[in-house]
Amino acid sequence: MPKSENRPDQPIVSTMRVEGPFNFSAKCNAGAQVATSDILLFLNDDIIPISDDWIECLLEPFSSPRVAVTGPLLVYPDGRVQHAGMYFSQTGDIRHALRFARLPEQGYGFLGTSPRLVSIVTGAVLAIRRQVFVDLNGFDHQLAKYIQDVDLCLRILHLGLDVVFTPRSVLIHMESVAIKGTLVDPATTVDRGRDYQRFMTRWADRLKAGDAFYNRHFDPGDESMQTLVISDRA
Amino acid sequence: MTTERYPKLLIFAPQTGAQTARSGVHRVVIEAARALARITTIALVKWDYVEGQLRHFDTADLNAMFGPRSWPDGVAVNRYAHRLRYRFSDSIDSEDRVLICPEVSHHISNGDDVFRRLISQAREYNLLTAAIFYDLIPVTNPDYLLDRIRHLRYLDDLLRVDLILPISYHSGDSLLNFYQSERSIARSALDKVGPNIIPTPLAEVGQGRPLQHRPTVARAADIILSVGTIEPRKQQLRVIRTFQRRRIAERYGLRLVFVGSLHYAVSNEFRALVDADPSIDYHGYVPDSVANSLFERARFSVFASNDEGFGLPICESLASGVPCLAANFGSMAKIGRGGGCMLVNVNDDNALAEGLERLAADDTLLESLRSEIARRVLRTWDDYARDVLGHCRAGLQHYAIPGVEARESGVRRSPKKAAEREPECRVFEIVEPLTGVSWHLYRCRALRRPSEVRRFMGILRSADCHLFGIHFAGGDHAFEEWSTEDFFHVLTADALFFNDEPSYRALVSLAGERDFPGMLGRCEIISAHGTSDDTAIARLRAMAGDHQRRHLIAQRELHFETGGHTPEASTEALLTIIVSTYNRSAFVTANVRWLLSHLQSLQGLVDLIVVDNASTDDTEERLASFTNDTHFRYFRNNANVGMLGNLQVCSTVVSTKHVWIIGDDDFIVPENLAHVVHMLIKNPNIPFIFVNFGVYYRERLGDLDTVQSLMKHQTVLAPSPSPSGRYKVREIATEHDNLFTAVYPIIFRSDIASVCFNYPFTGIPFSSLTESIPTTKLILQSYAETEALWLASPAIVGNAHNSWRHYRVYWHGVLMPLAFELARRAGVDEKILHKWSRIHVPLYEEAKTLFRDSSAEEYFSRADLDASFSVFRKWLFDVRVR
Repeated sequence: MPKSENRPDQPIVSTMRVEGPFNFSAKCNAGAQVATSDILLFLNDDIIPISDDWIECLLEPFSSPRVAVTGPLLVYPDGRVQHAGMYFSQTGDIRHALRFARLPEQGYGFLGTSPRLVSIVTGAVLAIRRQVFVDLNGFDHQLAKYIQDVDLCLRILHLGLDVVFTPRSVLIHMESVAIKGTLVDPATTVDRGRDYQRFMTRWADRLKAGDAFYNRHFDPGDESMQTLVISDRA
Repeated sequence: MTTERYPKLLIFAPQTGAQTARSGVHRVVIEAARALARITTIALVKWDYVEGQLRHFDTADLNAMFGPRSWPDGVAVNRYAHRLRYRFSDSIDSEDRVLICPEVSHHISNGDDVFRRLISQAREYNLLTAAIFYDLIPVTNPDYLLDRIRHLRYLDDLLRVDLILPISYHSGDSLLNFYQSERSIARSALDKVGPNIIPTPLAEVGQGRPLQHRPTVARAADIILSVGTIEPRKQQLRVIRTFQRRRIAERYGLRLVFVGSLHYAVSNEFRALVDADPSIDYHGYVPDSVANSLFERARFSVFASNDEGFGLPICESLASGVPCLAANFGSMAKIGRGGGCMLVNVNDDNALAEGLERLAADDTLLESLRSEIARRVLRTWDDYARDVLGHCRAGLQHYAIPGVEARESGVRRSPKKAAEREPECRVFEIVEPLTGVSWHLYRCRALRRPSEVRRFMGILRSADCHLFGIHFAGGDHAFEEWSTEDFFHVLTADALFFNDEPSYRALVSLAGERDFPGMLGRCEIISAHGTSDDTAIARLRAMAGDHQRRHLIAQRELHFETGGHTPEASTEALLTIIVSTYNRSAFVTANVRWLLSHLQSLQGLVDLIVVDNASTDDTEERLASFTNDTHFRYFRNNANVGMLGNLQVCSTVVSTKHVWIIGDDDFIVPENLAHVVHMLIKNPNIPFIFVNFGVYYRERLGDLDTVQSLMKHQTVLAPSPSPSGRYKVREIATEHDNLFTAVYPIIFRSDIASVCFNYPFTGIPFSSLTESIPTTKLILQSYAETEALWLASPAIVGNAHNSWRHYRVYWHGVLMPLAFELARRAGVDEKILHKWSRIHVPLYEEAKTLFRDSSAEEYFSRADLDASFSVFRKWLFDVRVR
C-alpha cells in the first residue's frame, strides 16, 4: 500500500501517490485506509466551494444515525445545476436530477432547494460515514473509471441506510474538466463500457423495480426535469 | 420464551428472497424462517455469482421474502451485506454454526454448481451443513422427466451435506431407499459419516392461520376447494371429470374451485375443461388472504395428489377447519389418519367419485370430520423449528471433534505403569469418535527415562489407529544423554510440546546434529510459564479434529463419487481450461492457438477461457482473432487484482464440473488432455486429477520457440512416477517435491477450486500459505486422505521462470517449511519430506545472496519462523531467544 506523507506547510494535509493505471476507486480506497475521522469526504479536483460553511452544511444530515451519505448541490460556472442528486431509470440509465436547470425558477417543487432523500449522489463531492465505507470495503476497485459512486450509493441504500442530497451546501463543479481529453479516447470508452457492464451484472434486476425517490411521471431522458410523461408506463 | 440454547443458523434461500410468487417450497422456507427466528438467531443468505460465494440478504431480499415492515423480530440486514473483496466467513461470527438449505438446489440458475460450491465452502468455514429434503418426484414420476437429471444430481450432491431433514417419514424412507438401492450406500455408512437422514415432518398449521373450528356445516359452504399447483400428479383433471360425471354441481349445488399456478403439462386440457363448465372456477395463484376467504366458503377440500413428499394443502385445509378428501397412501395418509380427512384411493375413479359424493351429500359425515379436526393437535411451525434446531444441535455434537473429553488414561495397564515409573508423568487420551483413532499425550516434567516413553509408544504403535504427542512440561531434559535409538524413537511423535525455549531448541538442534532421518512432528512452545496441560490437550484435540475431518471428507467424497454417476447432458462440456494471463501477449496467444488446434478433436467436451488480469499490452487485440471459436471465451478484469486474485476470478467464471487453471506460459500436452478427459468421463465426480509435469525456462518467448520445442526440453518433476491410477492425495504428494504449490498440474472439481481461491488475496504477498500457496494449504489440510487420480505421463510443461522470484527468500526459508510441516501433519511420508526439505537450505542461501533486503523477521510471525527452525533444524533467521 502506498504511504501517505504529511505536508510541512499544511500540517492537516497529507498526500499519497498511487502508481499504476488510473483507477478512481483504488485511489479513493487507498486514501480512506489512512484516514481516521468519522466522516470521509471525497472531493474531485475540479470542485470550487462558494461558501465557507459548505462542509458544515454537508455534515448536518449525519445527526440522524440512518444517514450514511450526503452530497451537495453542484453548479456549473454559469450557475446552472450540474447535480441535485441522481436518479436511475428501470432500464439502467443513471442521470443527474435537474441538470442544466436554473434555480429556483426551473426547479420543481423543492427538489433543488431542500434537503431530501435520494438513491444516489455523485462521487465528485460525497461525504460518507467512515465505518460504513470500511464495512463495504470501499468503492469497487473493479469499477475503475466509471459509475463507482452510483454503485456505492446503491449498496448503501440496500443496507437500509439513507443517502441525502443537501442543497444547503453548494459548490461549483467543472465536471470532468481534468479528464475531458481522456473521455474521448476510444480505449477509455471501452473501459467505461466494461465498468458499466459489471455494474449492470450486479444491479440490473434491482433497477427494474424503479427509483423510489424519483417520480416516474418525469421523463427520465430529460435530466432538467422539465418534461412530464403523460401516459402511465409503469 | 425458551431458555434452551440452540445454534445460530444461516438460511440459504436465494429463490424465496428474489421473488414474491410462492410455491409450496417457498411457503415452507418463509414459515420455517419465521419460526426459527422466534427461537434462535437467523441470517438469510443467497449466492453471489460475481464473487462466487455466499452473501447476506439485503433490504430488497428481506422485503421480497417477508414483506416490507413484516420482517421477523431480530432479522436485520447484515452490515457486510454489500461488502466487496472479502471472504464470506469473515462476515459471520463464531456462533454461526449451521448453514441450512431449505430450497431445492436446481430451482435457481446453475443451481447444482452453486450447491456444490456452497457445501464445499461451508466445509472450510467449519459450518455444519443441513438440507431440507422434499421428495424424489422428479426422479420417480415420469410426468416430471424434464427435471430428472437435475434432481438426480441434487440427490448426489446431498451426499456431501452433514444433515438431511426430509419433510416426512415417507420422504425420508424414499430417500434412504434411493441411496441404498440406486447408489449402493449402506444405511450404517450414512449413520456414521453422514449425511444423517432424520425425517422432520413439516408443520400442519401455519402461524398466520390460527386453527378455525366452525361448529356446523356453514350456511354459505357452497364450494369444493382444491388448493395446489395444477399439475399431473395432483390429478385435478381426474377430479374435474369425476365431478362432472357424478353431476355434483347440479345435484348438490356445489361449485368446484381451483387455486394454484398452472403446470404446462396439463394447462391446455385444464383450461379447456374449466372454460367449458360454468360450475368450475380457476383463480390461479392467489395471496393467502384470498385463499383464507375461499376456505371460509368451502364445504370440503379435495387434494387428489398421488405423489407428495408431505401434503401441505391437506394441512391448510385442516387448519381452516375444512375436511379434506385425500389419498389413503403415502405421506397424505400419514397426515389424514390424524382425523378430519376422508381417505380414498385417489387413483381409482370410482373411489374418488364415491368420496366426492359422500362429502357432498352427507352432513353427518361432514360434522363428524369437523369434530375430528377440532380434536386434533396440529403440529405448528414452532414445533418444527424446535425439531430442526434440536437435530442441528445433535449434528454438531455428532461431528464434534473429538467427541469425548480428554482424560487421564487408565484404561491400558502398560501405559499407566510406564507413566508411574517416570515421576510426574501423566498420560491423557483423546478418541476421535467417528474414526476410532486414539491420541495419547504423554506429559513429563524432566524426562529421565526416555526408554519408558519409547516402550510406551511401542505398545501403542502396535495398535491400529494411534497417534501420539509428548509434552515436555519441565526443563532440563538432558536429551544429549539419551541413546540415539531412544531419541529417534521419541522424535517420531506426531507432536512435541515444550514449556520452555531452551528445551525446544536443544531437542531440535540435537535432531539436526544426530541427523534424524524424518520430518519432526509438530513442535511448539505452548507456555513459557509452568506447566500447561490444558493448552497441550487443546492443541492435541485440534490436531485430532483436523485428522478426523480429513477422514470424514474422504468418506463423503467417496460416497459422492461412487454414488453419483448421473449422466451429464450430451451438450455439456466436462472441463474448462482457464488461462490466467497478464501482459504476456506472445505467450498467451501461442497458448490459445495451441489449445484451440487440439480442442476440435475433443468434440465439445472441453472449453477454453482466458482471464486477462487487465493487461496493458496488446493481449486483448491479439486474442480478438480467436473469439469466433465456439470453444473460446475471453474475460477481462476491469482492474488488476493480483496474481492470486486472478485465480479467484478464474474459479468463479467457470461452470463446468471440472476446471484446469493454467498460466499463459504453461502448455498442455494434447495426448494427455485426451487422457484427462477420458478420466473425467469415467470419474465424473472425482475431486482432483493430479498430473505429472515438466518445466522449461524462458524469460520471454523467443522467435524460434515453438510449443513442441519447449516440451522437448522439459525437465520432468517425477521421472520415475507411480503408475497412473487412484491414490490417496497424501500418497500422490510423494510423487515429487512440489507439494501442490504449482496450480497448473492440478485439475480441480470446480467447487473445490472455488474453495481454494475463496480469499480476497489483499494481504501482504507471500506472507502466509494463503497469500502464496492456497492450493497446498487446502489440499493438504482438508483433502489429504481423499482419493484422487494420478496421471503418470507428463501432461503439462510449465515455465520455471516465475514473476515472483524476489520472494524466494521467504519461499525457501519459511513458506516451504510451513508446507512441509503441514504435509507431515497430513500424513505424507515423513522421511521423504525430510529429504526434500534439505533441498531448500542451499536454495535459501542462494536467494539470500540475490535478494539481500528480504527481512523475514518482520514479515513472519514467530510461530512461522519456529516452523522453519524445526524443519531445517537450524536458524536461518536472526531470532532472539524468548
